Amino acid sequence: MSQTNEQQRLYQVFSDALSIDISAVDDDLKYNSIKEWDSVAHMILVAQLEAAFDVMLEMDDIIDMNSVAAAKTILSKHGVNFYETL
Amino acid sequence: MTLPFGRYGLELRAVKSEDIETLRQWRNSARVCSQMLNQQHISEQQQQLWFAGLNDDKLNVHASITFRQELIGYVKLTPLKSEPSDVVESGLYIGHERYIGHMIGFLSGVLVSTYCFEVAQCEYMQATVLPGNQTAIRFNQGLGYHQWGRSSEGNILMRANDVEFREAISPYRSILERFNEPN
Repeated sequence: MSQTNEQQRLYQVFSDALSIDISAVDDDLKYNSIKEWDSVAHMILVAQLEAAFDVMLEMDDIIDMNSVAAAKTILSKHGVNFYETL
Repeated sequence: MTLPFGRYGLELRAVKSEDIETLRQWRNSARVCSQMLNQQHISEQQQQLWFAGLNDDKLNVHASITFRQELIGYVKLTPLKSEPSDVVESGLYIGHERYIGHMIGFLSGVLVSTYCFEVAQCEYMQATVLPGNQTAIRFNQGLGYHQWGRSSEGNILMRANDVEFREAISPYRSILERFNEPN
């Protein structure tokens, strides 16, 4: 499998919302692991993810979205495809 | 000021006896204590005396913050009598490990500000922040607070009025409404 443009878009949203360089974003990035991912950034992140992927996340998904990997799992439920099958 | 007050799945309610030991431990933790203006360690006896005096405290509001009925933090609201307008000073901390630095902490700040502007009808909210506490500065800025001055001790005074608060949270209106829906 190869990464799609959706992953690039996801990383860009994290980079913008957390005000960090995109090179610092990977699937292992977790909330509270860097000072930039605080409670305010979490709100900004959710708002920007919803706008970028045109989805409306459920309350529990918002609460549980504690990593880039978790965001992928949650957005996948809304039909966002992060992987291309070769 | 009237409690309980609930929004966004959160509630401000009167402090209960079963809260006070958990609140004491959170208050004494290095993470919380290091950012308090008064960093004195609180003993069990001091906490019990404090709790026993809450009913007689007609000036301040002391509230436990709960999310889905679970205790997550505490806030003290103090009307500033020296001010010509209605200013309420807030001191808030989130102690529950799951919600430290979490958006539920920010929603708690929204809840407290909503309570003060809508229920208590205050003109300004104020927070006093230790100069190095960038997390609190950013948190308060997210709620529309701006630096207003310095205390005599050199701490940063931040303030917001209702318009500034509403403008700051307007990008999150859709999310906030979703958190208002019954689970």
